[in-house]
Amino acid sequence: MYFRILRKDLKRKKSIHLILLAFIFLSTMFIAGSLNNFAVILNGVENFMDQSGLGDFLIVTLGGSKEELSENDKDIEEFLKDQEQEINYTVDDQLFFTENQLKTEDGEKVVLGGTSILNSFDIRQQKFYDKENREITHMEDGMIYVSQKLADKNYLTAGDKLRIQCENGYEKEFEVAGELKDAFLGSDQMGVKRCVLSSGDFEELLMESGLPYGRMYSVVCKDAEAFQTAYSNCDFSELFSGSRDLVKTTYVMEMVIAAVILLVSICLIAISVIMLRFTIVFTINEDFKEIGIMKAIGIQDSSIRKLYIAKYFVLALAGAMGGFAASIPFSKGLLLQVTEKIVMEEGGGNVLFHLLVSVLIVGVIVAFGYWSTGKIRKFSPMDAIRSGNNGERFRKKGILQLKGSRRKATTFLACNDVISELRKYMVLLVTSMIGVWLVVMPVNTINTLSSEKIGAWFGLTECDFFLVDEEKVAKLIAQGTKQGWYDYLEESKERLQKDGIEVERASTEVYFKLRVRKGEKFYKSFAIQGLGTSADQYFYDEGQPPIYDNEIAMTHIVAEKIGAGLGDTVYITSGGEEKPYLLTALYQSMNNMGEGIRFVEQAELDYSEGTGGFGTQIMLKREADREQLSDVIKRAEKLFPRVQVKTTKEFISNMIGDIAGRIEPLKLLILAVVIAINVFVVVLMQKMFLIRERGEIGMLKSIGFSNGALIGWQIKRIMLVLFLGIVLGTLTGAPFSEITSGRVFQMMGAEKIEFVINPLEIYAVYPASLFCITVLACAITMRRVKTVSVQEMNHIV
Amino acid sequence: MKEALYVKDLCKTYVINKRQNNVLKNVNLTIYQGEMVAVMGPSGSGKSTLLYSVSGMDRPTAGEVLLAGKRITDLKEKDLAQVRLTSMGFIFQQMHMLKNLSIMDNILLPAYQAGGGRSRQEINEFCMALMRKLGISDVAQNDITEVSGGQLQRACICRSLINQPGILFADEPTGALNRSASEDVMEELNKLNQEGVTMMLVTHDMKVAAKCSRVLYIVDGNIKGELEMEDGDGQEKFRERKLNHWLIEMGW
Repeated sequence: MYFRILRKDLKRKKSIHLILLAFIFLSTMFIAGSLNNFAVILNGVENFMDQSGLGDFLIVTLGGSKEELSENDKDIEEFLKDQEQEINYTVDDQLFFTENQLKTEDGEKVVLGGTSILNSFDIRQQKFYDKENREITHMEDGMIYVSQKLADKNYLTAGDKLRIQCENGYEKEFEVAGELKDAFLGSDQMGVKRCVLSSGDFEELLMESGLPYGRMYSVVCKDAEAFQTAYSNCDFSELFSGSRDLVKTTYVMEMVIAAVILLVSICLIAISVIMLRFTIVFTINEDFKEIGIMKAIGIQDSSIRKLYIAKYFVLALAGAMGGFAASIPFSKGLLLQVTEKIVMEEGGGNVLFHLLVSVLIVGVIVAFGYWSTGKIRKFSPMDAIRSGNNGERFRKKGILQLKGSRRKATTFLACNDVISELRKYMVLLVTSMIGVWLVVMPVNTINTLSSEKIGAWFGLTECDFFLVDEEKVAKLIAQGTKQGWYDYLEESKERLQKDGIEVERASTEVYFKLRVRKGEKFYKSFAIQGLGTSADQYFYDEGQPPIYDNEIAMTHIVAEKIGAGLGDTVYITSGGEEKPYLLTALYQSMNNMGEGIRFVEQAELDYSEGTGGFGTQIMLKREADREQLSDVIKRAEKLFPRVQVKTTKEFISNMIGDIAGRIEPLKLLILAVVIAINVFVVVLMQKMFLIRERGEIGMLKSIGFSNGALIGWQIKRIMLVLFLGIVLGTLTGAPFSEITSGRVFQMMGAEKIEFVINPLEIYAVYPASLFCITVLACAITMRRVKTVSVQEMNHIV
Repeated sequence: MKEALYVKDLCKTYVINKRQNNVLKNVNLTIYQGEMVAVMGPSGSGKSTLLYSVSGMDRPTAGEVLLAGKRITDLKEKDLAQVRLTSMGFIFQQMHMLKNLSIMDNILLPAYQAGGGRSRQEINEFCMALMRKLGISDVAQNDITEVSGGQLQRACICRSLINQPGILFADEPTGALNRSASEDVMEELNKLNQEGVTMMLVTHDMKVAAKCSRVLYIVDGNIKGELEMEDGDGQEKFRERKLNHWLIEMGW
């Protein structure tokens, strides 16, 4: 008999059960999918590095040849052999190439955005993976795997042809085998990109191409910090040296996206839990009538509870099964962006985890149902018939008073309902508030990254555009003189001016990797010297810009590492000579993970130790040129056909990866998800309210309220709650952005970022879109009010 | 006398599981202004259906209903709502009110919704006057769960009168009340009728019907008979005896 009651009950209250089922389905999908992502993302980069077998400390050098190693490489190998602590290390050969040496089938240059590396696929220090996360264990001759960044930038797909053309006349064509996942050089922050070849092809190139040779050392040791200290104390020259932890921090781009996904996941879990609680409490309250009747005819509490728990079990099981199935593609979809560069356990791969979470949700719902039905022991049949409220003891009068109110009756009813029973609307309030946070955060991040201030945060001077000529920079580095750089700047300036482009300033920054020491503490830091510019043209957080050649500024991060403060004397080794410098200013930079020492232009540094240079920064003299910058850039592109001409934003985007560009689709995705969730919550809530309030609606109809007035009452309630949620979300959105994406900027080296807020977007466009679409959905749902008849007032609670 | 309600050939048919159930069959009746008409009959005879159909709460299947000369059977839902709001009042057996509002606010609600050229101040004063008249002014600010059933039903009467309707419909207005509360409510309804409010009420209670000026007896969806309670029948006991005798004749 009980089974028959259960079956009939499920059929009879179809709408309410369908709503509960929908909430359980969504909650399971969100919770199982999001928790899985949580687990996967938290250890994602670390696991990828473990899986690739990346060492604890990595060094990249340039110079010499396979047959005749450079002195520097010999010294490094000597150093590695003499280490006190037990270490293992591997060395691999590599070749460097620039974009002029790699062409597509049509003879077009392949855009690299920096020097790139060629390796054999079977190097000893790490494993490579393809796009499908399969380890590359075999490569045919004539094939090439290209880094994901390179493939993306040049729209390369498997089967495309690439040609390596070297200055000595050597040429060879390759077929793209696919995209490469590379734990060491895979992140956007690593300017260098890598392509791998078969070992035979690599050997051939090594012997015949004449491409610059370099070595890559991977050290496995117990104490990476001690090794780093020892290494920093030596005066080796290298393109890169750093611990595995440093490499990990270069995955900041993936971390930004992962952080966004984690945040979305946390918010979805929060929304799901609130939705679930609301729905269960609501449906159990609806059931009190039936419970009361059963009690009245003598059915025992325990039997009634079993009946209801069985019902919740059936619903929870059905909803959770559906949610479990949907959570796998949902989780996969969310992780797509993060897994582009990293080999991660697939989002949907951990089926057991999803299943476990789904079972847990069934358990929680049944436990919640058990706990909620437990209340029926306390009530008499009469109490239960009145839906658990006998009024006199529990009911609270509305807070507002209609008497004397100037509002319309329906507006008053809406306000009074919301204020008197705010808890009932909490789901929507919290959902819309969290929704605004989720939308505001990426928008603020994108606007900040796209703002004019971005150059300053990367330690650059103000300029109108950049001329980026990697080949020239490589030559200047090889030439190793300061005058060479000046000549290049002057030449660029003259060519522009000849074409009628008046140049105020042509400047650049040359960078070095230098040892800095204060007392016993030392560190090998990224250092720059601006040429054609003075140190006071940069931004500083504290102190005075350095003026004299024995004065420097440094980033907070480097100062902290060596324990230096303003006014301290620090010692920097350049050209084998250690010189004292006075620290006069501190600044922040998101370049090189926040590392940086800035010298004045006249400070004497050994340019043979230079490791690179930023592009030539051009500041225009005439306002008219500045107003028509795109035209000027086009003219500059014609003047310098081998050079890339970029705006500051493009230059930085090229340097660190297009964070804003990659967050942009996420922003729209999040907006769509937020609106969809809001609409869903509103529609389901309104449907539930409609079921519960049929009596009240019938009564209001009986005293003359028209359908329009009743729909107005219901919509105004939702509008009020939405408005409150959105205002709260907007007010707390900026601090939320600072806490969340502010942390990411800090990870990139920034000390304090002032978010750029576009008031029109943040305070008008997005909140208004969220508000209008949700209200529209509510209005469409509320047309159901028309189906309520006056006679239904007898269902009044 | 002017007609307050005119009903011609009113039919109401329900179709349940493809079976037709003719609840009202060509009912004709007229209620004049100032009258207080009771509708009696056995359970299932169609009393409440008649009341709901003539008051515009439900749509009849066929026939014509004129409320103060205005045909309401063809009105659109919006216009019908306006009629319910301004031209009539309805008292239900169960005292349906909104739980989040005080007694006074529940009464004020239809008046605030209607507006009708009165200022809010005037509406408030009229509401207080009504509440005083029905003896519930001291519970004006109380919650609906803090008053007795009798007080709540009187509040429902106040609500039905707040827009000064031409006619008042009542479905078993004392059905959910005890004897003493029931007598109080009827006394108030009588007073209102004496002040000129037209009423049509459905009741099972002979004592309630005996206070009306006319009683209709309905059986199987047809008005079987009607009894005029003349002015000379002023003595309460006498009116009840007369009604009792007539009802027995009707088969009560």
